[in-house]
Amino acid sequence: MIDPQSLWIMVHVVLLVYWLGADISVFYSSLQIIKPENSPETRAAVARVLGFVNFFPSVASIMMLPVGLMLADGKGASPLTGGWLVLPWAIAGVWLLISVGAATQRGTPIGKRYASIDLWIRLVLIAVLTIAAIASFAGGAPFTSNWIALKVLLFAFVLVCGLGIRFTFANFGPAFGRLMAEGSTPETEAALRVPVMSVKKWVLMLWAALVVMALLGIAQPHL
Amino acid sequence: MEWQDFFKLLHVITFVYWVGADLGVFYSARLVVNPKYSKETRATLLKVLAWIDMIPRYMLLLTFPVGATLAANLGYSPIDGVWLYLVWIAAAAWVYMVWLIHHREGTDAAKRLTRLDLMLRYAFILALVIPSITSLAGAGPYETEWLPIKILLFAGAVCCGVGIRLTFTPFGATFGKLMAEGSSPPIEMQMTRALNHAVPFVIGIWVFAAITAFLGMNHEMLFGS
Repeated sequence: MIDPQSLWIMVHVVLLVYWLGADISVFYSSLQIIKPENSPETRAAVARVLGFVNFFPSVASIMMLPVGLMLADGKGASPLTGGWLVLPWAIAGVWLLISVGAATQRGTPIGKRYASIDLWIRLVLIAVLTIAAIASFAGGAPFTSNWIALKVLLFAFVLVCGLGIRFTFANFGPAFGRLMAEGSTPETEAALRVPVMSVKKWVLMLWAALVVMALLGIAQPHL
Repeated sequence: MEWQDFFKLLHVITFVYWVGADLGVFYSARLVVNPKYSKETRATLLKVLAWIDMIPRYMLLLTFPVGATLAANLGYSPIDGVWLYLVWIAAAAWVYMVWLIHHREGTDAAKRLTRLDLMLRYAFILALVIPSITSLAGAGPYETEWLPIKILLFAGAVCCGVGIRLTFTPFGATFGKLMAEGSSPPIEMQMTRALNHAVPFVIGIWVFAAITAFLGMNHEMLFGS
């Protein structure tokens, strides 16, 4: 009675819940971490909340692509069908391990190695997805529905926003380490505040893209 | 693209921010009851928790008028036209009241509004449950089977919210004592106990919300309407 496609839609929505819905907690706790009136201990505790919650969007964002491809296959709009669907799942599985490795081994040589592989996966995906989407608009392949092609393009944009967040935040970790080791100084406070303030535009663009993608998935318009 | 699609999007977004934001609440609550942290840290963690916790509260109240609009547009709900506007106005007023309770915390006005809010929730649960049961018994007012089942599941989530409120009531006073007197084993135990008692209701909300969402997305497949 229950169509497997409907279960994938549910998984697709639940992934959005733990991506977009969890992100708001990450955002608010980052604002508390940069408040100089909070003690280093308090800010470390809030950073723990941030670290825990942030784990969910990073996992959800990686799993979104294979689940989306299952749904596109169900619509008959994707070239990846049957056994080929193992491919996106295998890539997502390996990517997930690397990404989790980068997060849990942060600061160690192997962690840096994981982080750079993760970066390359993202860069390749951005290129592949953008080309696939544009080719679909222009030539009707590989994706045969334009609304799916647009979602693929927006997903590439979301990955770009994610990289924007990553590069903007690159100096936050070391600055936070200095805060913990040396206490608050005007330089350290500035080094914490600047990335949190300038990351906002990337975060807002990412959220907006996710909402538009949700609308496309719901309305499935003829474009 | 139709208006109905935008309301569907709003229905998904309210679900996203309801269940997704709850995660931050759940984890920060665990840190608030950690006696290793200083009073200041625990107070800040509670502030973070309380701010994030407002989002699911607003979403619970807003998802209902959105759902009512979707049902009315499908022709399955008797709440239509002027009545639907009234539902929206009531929901907006209720959201404003919940906002006031949060921002006037500690004042007598907030305490009165908190009591009123609890009474309203009891009334809301009855207003959700009674017409759903009469509909399932065949007497209306809802036209299809899945809609009253969905409303009953939603009422289950609202009940769990009330359950959290009631089991968590001792927490606030005990936290005040922690701030005034500092940590002691009885205070820590009371806080942990209040939190542990709330956990089943929190999980209950997630389960009800997930089944409700699944039913909403698949009523045509499951019920043929």
